Amino acid sequence: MLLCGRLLSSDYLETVSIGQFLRLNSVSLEHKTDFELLAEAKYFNHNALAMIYDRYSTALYQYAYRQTGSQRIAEDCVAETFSRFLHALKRNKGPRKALRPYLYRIAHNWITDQYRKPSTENGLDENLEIIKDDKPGTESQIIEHETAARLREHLQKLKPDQRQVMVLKHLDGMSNAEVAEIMERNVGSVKALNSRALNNLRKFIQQDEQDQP
Amino acid sequence: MSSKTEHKETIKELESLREAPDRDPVQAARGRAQFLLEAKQISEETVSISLIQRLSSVFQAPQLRMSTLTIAIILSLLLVSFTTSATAASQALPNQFLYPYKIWLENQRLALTINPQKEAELHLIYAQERLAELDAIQDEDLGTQFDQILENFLYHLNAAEEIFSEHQEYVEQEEIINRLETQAPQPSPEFESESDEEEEHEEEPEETPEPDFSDEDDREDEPDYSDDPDETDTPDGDDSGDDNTVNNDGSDTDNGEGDPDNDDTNDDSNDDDNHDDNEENDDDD
Repeated sequence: MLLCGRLLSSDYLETVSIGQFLRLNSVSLEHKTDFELLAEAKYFNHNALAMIYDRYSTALYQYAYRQTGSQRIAEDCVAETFSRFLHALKRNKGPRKALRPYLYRIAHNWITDQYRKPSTENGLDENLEIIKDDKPGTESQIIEHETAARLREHLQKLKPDQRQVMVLKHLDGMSNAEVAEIMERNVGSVKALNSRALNNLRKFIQQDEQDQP
Repeated sequence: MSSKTEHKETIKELESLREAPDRDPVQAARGRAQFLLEAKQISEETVSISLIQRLSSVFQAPQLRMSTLTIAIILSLLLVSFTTSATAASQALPNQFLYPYKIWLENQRLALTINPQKEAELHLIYAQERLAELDAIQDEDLGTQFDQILENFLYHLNAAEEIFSEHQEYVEQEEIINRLETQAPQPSPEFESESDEEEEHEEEPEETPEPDFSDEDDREDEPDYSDDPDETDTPDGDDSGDDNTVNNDGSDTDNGEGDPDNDDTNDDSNDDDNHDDNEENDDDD
């Protein structure tokens, strides 16, 4: 019991000292790697969690927006992604090494779930209407918005992994290696997925052009 | 059109989706605050769990995976630390950190002591210890702790006294029994069988000339009974004499029809009586 007490107290002291150190040197947190931040986030270190949020929330928001075209849904996606991340930490099942792929995977799964829901519940369709109605401007801008909305529709028709490759590689501008890391696949598989996704997307676009008068 | 150019066209179209509006600062700040609040709530919920996890992770870590030797070392360290702390606590004064531990150790030792004499001795030692403690810190203001020490002193004193009184009663009883055993006359082995009969005689004071049977009277009666042991059966023999006549008459029917178990016992017990009765009858004749 005494030994346990000593271990606990030493661990506690260590945590406290880290916390104090972080409070005093919060600027140095910005230079910490994801791995270092994650190690502190596992103990629910406030500053480390805040730094993780600041580092990835905007990127995740853009990732979600590019797929959904809705600011509201993108914000929901960010909130839900970080909430799931916290609960995973609570169960001691958070990311082991890489933080960014983990957060992107959560966001991707959440968006996929939204697409699986009926259109009345997910709110993805209302976005198109909002674009049309709330974005007054020149004719070219309206056409631009309509084209973007149609492209998102086509993206939604793709399989989840194909859509993820499209968004990560061509919208977020990641390399094949980065996409492979996030999707937990090898680079060759990502390239193949990319090729199939582009073919399918081209078919959807051509089909749409044929249908339009 | 080749697939490469098609792909390039598609990618170019996709790039139109790259533009994403900036986050609403209010929404972003709200989301951040909500996230940190949730983190705080979860961390408060999981304080106890995370302590256990940390402890278990310490023991499960590869660099700390325990071998038998490590366990032995830890156990020996525990033993040493326990002994050291117990020794240090035995000298603790009421205003010191280890004093409650000292009292706890005393109580444990008392609880483990079975021998009442040693238990009483321990109570006395601890009572003396309380007095010594009060003497050692008499200049300091103890407040309510003074009453507690005094109460503890009285408790040990009363407990010791109680054990002594109980033990004293037990010793006195033992002494009385021993004295009675040494003073009491030793009955002769031959006369042991007659003791029941003597009790019967004692219950019938009318027949005896002296109601009070002293030891000497018993000894005087001994030879009379021992000379003729058959006569001890005479009172029963007289009663059974009448019965035997019936038994002799009905013995054939009983042996033939009665319960075999009962018949055996009856036969065994009645054979001698019948024999004696027949002799008496012969004498009468």
